[in-house]
Amino acid sequence: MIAYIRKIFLSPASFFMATICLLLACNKDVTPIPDTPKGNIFFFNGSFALTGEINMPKSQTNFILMDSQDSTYHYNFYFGASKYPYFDQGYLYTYPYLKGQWPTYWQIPAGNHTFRLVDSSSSILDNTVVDLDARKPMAVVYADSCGIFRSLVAADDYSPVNGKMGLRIINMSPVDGQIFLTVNNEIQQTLPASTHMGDHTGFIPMDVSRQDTLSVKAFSVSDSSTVLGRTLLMVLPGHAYTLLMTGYSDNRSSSYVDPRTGNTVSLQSNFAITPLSNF
Amino acid sequence: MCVLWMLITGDVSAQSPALTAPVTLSFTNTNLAVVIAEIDRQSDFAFTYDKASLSSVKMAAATWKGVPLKSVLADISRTTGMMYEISGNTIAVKAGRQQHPGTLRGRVVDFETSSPLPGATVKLEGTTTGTITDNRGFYQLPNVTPGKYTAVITFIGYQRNVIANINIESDRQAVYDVKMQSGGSLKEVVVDAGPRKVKSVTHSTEAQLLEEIRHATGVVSGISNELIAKTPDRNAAEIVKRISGVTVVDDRFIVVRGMNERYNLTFLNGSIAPSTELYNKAFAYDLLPSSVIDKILVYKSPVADLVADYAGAAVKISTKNAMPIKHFDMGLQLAHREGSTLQNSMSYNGGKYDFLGFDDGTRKLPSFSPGIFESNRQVTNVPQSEWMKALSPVLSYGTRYTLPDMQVFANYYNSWKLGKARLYDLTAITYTKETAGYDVYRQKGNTEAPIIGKGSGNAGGSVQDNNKIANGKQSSENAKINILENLTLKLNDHHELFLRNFFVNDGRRFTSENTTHPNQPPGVGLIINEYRTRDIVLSFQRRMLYAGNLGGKHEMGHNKQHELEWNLGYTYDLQSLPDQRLIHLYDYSLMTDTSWRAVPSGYLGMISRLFIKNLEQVYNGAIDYTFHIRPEFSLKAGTYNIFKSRQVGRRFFRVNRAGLSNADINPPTDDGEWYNDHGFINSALLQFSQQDLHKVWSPTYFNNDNTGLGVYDATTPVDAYVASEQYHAFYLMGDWKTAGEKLVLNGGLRLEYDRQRLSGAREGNNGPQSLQPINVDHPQTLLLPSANISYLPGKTFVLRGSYGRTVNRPDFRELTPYNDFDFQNNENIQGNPKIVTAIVDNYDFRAELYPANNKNEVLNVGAFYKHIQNPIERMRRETSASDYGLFLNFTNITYINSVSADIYGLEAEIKKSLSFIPGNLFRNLSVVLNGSLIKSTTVTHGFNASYVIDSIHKKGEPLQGQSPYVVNAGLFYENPSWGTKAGVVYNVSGPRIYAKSQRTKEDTLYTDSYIRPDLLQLPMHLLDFSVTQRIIKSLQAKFSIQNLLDQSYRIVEDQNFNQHYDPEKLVKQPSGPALMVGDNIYTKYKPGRYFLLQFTYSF
Repeated sequence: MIAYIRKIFLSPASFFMATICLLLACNKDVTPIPDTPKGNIFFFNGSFALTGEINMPKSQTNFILMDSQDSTYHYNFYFGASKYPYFDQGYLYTYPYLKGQWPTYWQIPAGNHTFRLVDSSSSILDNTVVDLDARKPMAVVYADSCGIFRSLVAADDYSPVNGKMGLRIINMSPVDGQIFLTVNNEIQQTLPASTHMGDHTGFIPMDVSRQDTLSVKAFSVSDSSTVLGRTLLMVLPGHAYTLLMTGYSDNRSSSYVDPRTGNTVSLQSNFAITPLSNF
Repeated sequence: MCVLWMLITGDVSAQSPALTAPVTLSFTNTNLAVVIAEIDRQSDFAFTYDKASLSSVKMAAATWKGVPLKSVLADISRTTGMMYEISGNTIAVKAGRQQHPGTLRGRVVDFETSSPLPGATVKLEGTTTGTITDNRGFYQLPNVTPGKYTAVITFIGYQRNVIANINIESDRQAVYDVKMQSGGSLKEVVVDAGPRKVKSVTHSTEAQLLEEIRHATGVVSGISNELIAKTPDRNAAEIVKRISGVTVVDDRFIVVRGMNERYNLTFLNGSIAPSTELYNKAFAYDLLPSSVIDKILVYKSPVADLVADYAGAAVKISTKNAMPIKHFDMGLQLAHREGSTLQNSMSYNGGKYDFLGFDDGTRKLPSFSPGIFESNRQVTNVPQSEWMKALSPVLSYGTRYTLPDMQVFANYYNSWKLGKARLYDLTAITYTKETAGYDVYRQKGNTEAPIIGKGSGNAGGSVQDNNKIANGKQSSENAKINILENLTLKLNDHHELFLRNFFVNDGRRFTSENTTHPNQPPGVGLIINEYRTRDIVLSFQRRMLYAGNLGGKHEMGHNKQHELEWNLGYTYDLQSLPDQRLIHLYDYSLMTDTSWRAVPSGYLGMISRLFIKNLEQVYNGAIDYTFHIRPEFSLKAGTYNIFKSRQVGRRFFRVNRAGLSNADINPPTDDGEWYNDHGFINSALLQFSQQDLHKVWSPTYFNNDNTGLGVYDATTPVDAYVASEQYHAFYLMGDWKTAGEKLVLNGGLRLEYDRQRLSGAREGNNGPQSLQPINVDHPQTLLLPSANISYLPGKTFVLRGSYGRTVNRPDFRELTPYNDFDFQNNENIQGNPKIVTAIVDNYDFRAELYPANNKNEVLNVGAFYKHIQNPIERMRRETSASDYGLFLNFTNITYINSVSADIYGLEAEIKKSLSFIPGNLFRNLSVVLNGSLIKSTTVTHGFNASYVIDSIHKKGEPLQGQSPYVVNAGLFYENPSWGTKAGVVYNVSGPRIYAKSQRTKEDTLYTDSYIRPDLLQLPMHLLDFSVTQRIIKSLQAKFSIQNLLDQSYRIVEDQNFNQHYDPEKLVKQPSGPALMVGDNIYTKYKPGRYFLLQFTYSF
């Protein structure tokens, strides 16, 4: 036993070995704090019917229930944020808010989520499943065509390229027929010739050498003399943008019967191109 | 029968005048028959006895010179049992009860390591009886005639040891273990000791220390290396608290007699130790590992030959000195701290040399940046991509499995002959790695106090919305390297030169996360100031200290009546915080989700990266000349000169939204698009969350086209100051021993000239754009008298009295307008250029008793009084309302001169062996007990509502930093034969004011109530245990447990200013709900129990 102790402790080599082992162990990289990966999501209200419901006859809140069917949920803003995203008169078109043309994001655990857009009577207007990736922000765009709701999920994934920008087109406008766009009054060959409701592209590379403001106009393929809508898009090389088309044009019937309530809803022209800066 | 016989003989002998006749004889190793025959020859009496029976009674020694016959017979009777009867002129003698010889045995061991010493000689003085220890150090002397003896133990290379009063009884064994000190003087010559070429080293012993204290001028306390070895202490901070009247705060600063760290002066090997702290005037005692310390002496009363900048005490730390031997020892210590080691602790990825206490360049200042001290220059026009490359991307912390704390040390002693001179060397190297992690709780204001209500005065603030609760996690990973290189060149018996070098490099990687939320009743709505906030700190603090001293000691004259000592010193003290990263987040749940996101652009930025450097250099020179005019009278004169310079600088980089100038943080009032920079800023990038921190420092977030985040250099001239101090002192002191050396008078006069200069800047009313230069120039000349009287009626008793005037000068930190942000203690510290030097009058009285039969024992009792004019106190300037002084909810600390302070104290100390209690156990037990009782009062200034000192004087609270009592107790066991040492030590200091409020107990107006109260640091009852055991040869193992009672560190807000902790309790209010009333916890954390296992081996 004594010989063993002597062997272990009396050797200077043992001292040094123990010391070196301990010192080397100090230099290991840290283990990141375990945390659920989170993704960013943004909701856009392009629905004429939903906007009308929020505003009339009195202000109300339409929640987007996440992984829940608790249609009775409500909250008191005095004590913090809502558990679920929502549209109301404060967040009429987007949740969270837009800053300039930049979306901000709601942060939630990545993975599969079911979002249920409910109306004031707790009816589910839309049911969307999103596989949220922690590395890619996503956008959910809601729209309706004569009271029939639909949604589109777009993943914002872009790698900057010098001297180019990315341009994405999302068409959620219930306008009859096809729509095409001009940029600075020219049809861009790189963009789709025309789109209709539900169409969307990826970020299409376009040459841009400096900070610029682009004039974007939308036309119906059937009537290229009438501008449906227009917007200005501020661009910089190395960034990516979305042109989001929503709303009705003059080219439609003046009302429709709401399939949920049976009420007749008057329509107004509200075609819009919303420019979004994504990267 | 024997008694009766003696009584008869006594009665008879009283009638015989011849019994007073003197007898002179001297025999050793003889027998009773021979002794009686000789007495018979010298005496007029006729002796009758049986020669054969008396011959069997052995006598080790029989020596009398002119002693009356009556006494000689009594002596012989007592030692041998002999009986005698006097009848007329005849004395009949017969042998008494048969006396059997006894045995003396024991073990001879080395003083320091308890390793056995084979071959040591043990001899009974005055006899030929002796022996040599066996190969395990044991000795045995059988057949020793009963009686009293003195044993002399000698061994080559060790000091001669004498044990007196050994009592050998008939048929009994007496056990005496002996600890041998190795040669303690440089006069001795190194001699090979048989097969062992090296010897162990003995440093100061308790007996030597007490002897030094007994002969000291003034009131001195101390601790020796012998006692240090019995404690579990790892560094000087832990050692020094064993000394009477000394307390240690924050684990590294000393408080003596209740006077806080700023009142104490530390000498390291004769030179003034620098202030090692960024935020305090104090020397960090934890920089010195216990393995290099020989002794610590605390001078509590002034003497003219000491620099007078102290009021509590001047503490002299002596590191181990070179010895005339060849020796090498090394040790390994492993330790576990509950809650810190052997578990996953928070940390971050720093540099690859962090474990040595050095940065590997990971945290270096970008090459495009002006230097840290060039505070008038800023970085401009650097693309974000360059910033990304120049600074570490690490902004998040993680966890790392923490191994046991470790200390490795090695000491090497040797000497070489250089012509007629001899060079002695001591090299000591220590490496220490420690981790300490705590969960820290902080609170301001009574628990759940309403925002509106009591305290809502109308001066300055209207609500208590600054009442917050914070929960923090923090972890410190320290790596320290100490190198001691002491060289002594002994030219001859008269002249000696020394070069002492001390180097410390201490690197501390610090990681913390602090989350703050409002301290208010539940159910109250949230307002803008009630966001929950979170601050993450990743830092690395490096302290590098080098102290070099070249000096000499020269004795001249045939009686060495002239002594000259000189000392030239240089100190380099660098403290740096390279790339301290601060990430400021807030709870986004008031907006949309539960993320912690970056705060909006602001003064500190979403991320701050600070580079701080504090460089102090000290040059000092001293000469002391002593002239021993007569043996009883000496004069001493000398000078001490210091030039000190300090440069402090901070480079402050902050991250805000891109596209701003360095100075911009607020939007122009006419630009509504400022917040999104006309559409070009990506707000999602500005709102990065805590989870994104690992990827934030990248071109994605910091784009060269200014669409995300930007880095700005916010450094301004307020981020630096320079200072210097010039000090010249001269003294003349006399020492006069009179009345047969029973009275020692010491008097002296010290002239000190000191000039402190400082140049800095502070912000004017319009922020950084309106700088105010601050220049301080404080020249001062003072004459400081001191007088000490010691009365020594015998060798065992000393009575002392002393008076002396000293000073307490402000530190540069206390004078500068520069703001320091202490993220470990959540304090914002700002100096006060108006602080002046405090003048202290000190009075001391002490009685000391040194028992003659044990040189390790002492008992002393003393009293002291101090009057301080303009005491410098640490102050808390803060209100409960956020509209005044809100800065990350930090506590605002500054300094002030109060008008005066008076301090009265009593102190006592006992060091006592328990061997007087029967039983073998008690023979090896000793106790150390010391304590102080102190009372202090202050007179302070009044303040008006704008925080300006006015001319009103009012009664203040006790002196800031002063404890009303200090108690140290220790029970020690030592068995040299087994090589076992054990100790249980206890330490407590009473509650002390950590920082004083500008409000006092007398300020009772409603408008005063919003001013935050005193911060009171509560006592910690520290109980430590340590046991040291020699395993084999000179391998020793030491196991210790510190903080056995698992005490918490606590500071409370003393709401009723009574310097006593009155815990909060619920009290029903006359017109409203029940509220918590009492003293709330301000800071609390548990350092945890600390378990240490140490192995030391001497080669």
